Amino acid sequence: MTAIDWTRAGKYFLLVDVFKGMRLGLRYFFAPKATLNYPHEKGPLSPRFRGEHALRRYPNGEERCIACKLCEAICPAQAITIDAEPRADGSRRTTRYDIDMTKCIYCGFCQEACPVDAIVEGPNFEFSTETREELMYDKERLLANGDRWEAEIARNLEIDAPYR
Amino acid sequence: MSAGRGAGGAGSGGVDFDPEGVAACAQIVARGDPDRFRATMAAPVPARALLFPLYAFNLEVARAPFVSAEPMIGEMRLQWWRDVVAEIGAGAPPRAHEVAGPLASVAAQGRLQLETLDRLVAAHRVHLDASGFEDAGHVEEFLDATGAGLTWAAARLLGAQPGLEPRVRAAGWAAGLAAYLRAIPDLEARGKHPLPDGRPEAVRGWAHEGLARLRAARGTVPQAVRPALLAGWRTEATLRRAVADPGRVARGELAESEFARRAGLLRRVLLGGW
Repeated sequence: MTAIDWTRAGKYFLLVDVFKGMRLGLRYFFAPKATLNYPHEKGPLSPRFRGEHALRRYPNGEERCIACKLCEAICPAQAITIDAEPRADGSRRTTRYDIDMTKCIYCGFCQEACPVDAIVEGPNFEFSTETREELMYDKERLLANGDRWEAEIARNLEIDAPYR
Repeated sequence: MSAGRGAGGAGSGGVDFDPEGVAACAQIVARGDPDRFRATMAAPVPARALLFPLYAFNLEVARAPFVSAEPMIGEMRLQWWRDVVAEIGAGAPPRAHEVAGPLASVAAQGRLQLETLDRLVAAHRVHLDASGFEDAGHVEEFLDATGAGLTWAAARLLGAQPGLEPRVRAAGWAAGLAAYLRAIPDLEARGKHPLPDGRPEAVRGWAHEGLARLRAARGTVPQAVRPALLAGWRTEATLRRAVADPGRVARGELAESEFARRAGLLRRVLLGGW
């Protein structure tokens, strides 16, 4: 005759496993969550995060970009197209600054090459679209991005400055 | 910060400077080279309007090789600055850059040594290559183009006569060496090889050489030129520490205490030394 394991039988009778499971569940219920309630919460971003592109302005509103075309030259994906012409005061400015965001590989070379910190990859990562055409950014769109994100971009550049 | 207000007076050669442009340059220097900034703020206001654009240019050029891990990008940025210098020399309208514009205004004053600046930019190409300097002569050339060249360019802006050049350059060379020795731990952290021979006796030899050049440069200089030399006020303290214990260079222990540093500048400003 098989001997009865009374300890085990007693645990079954007292629902010990159920209570153990509930204890584990309660522990995780009060523990810090590994997940985020996106889009209301967002994870931390590095100051070096390379997101949506933006063209910056000087505090007096003047465009920073001086149409040197270094970003266009360095872009490995050939995503940037610039046309430029001199202004009446002799300074060169862009008449066209397009980025094909479907080509961009977010390498950050454009912002590293820019001598005036005009083109930057900002902190925005939420720019999904419904059509490809919407991802063909022009100068107005890039300048608008710069105006919108300037505070964060300037803060990130300042934080990163000691390492550059 | 009154970096350049009222700078269009006789001391600046009668050239009108954009105060905002000079202030922007002063901010760049304050952030990137606080020692030079303090020394320059001890100079008369007209002199600041000449020196800050030059020092901001030096900083922009010095950081260009370190902006990117890609040597090609550093090369492009350095070439861009060489083009800026060449265009200023050719009298073309300055590029709309917060340093290039004020630098062109300084050049309009007529005493800016553009070939010295071009040499300074070219010298920084050494940092694009991880292998660094080829030999001791290469280091010497680098210090001559950077520390010595910058100090002489600053002194010329303030009206130094050509006869002063050997002494000013010697002081600038020593100041450049001291600053370079202080930067070595940071350069090593970035994966560079700062000196071709990093043995303690070789480092001590460099520091001895710097002190010898500094001693040779000592002597009275015209009051107007003093701000250019004052920027190297930490040179002697740094080099003496390197001579006493060359290991301090690699350990990053060349800096004196904050009190000693500030007191050193204050003493020189009050007593009229450099």
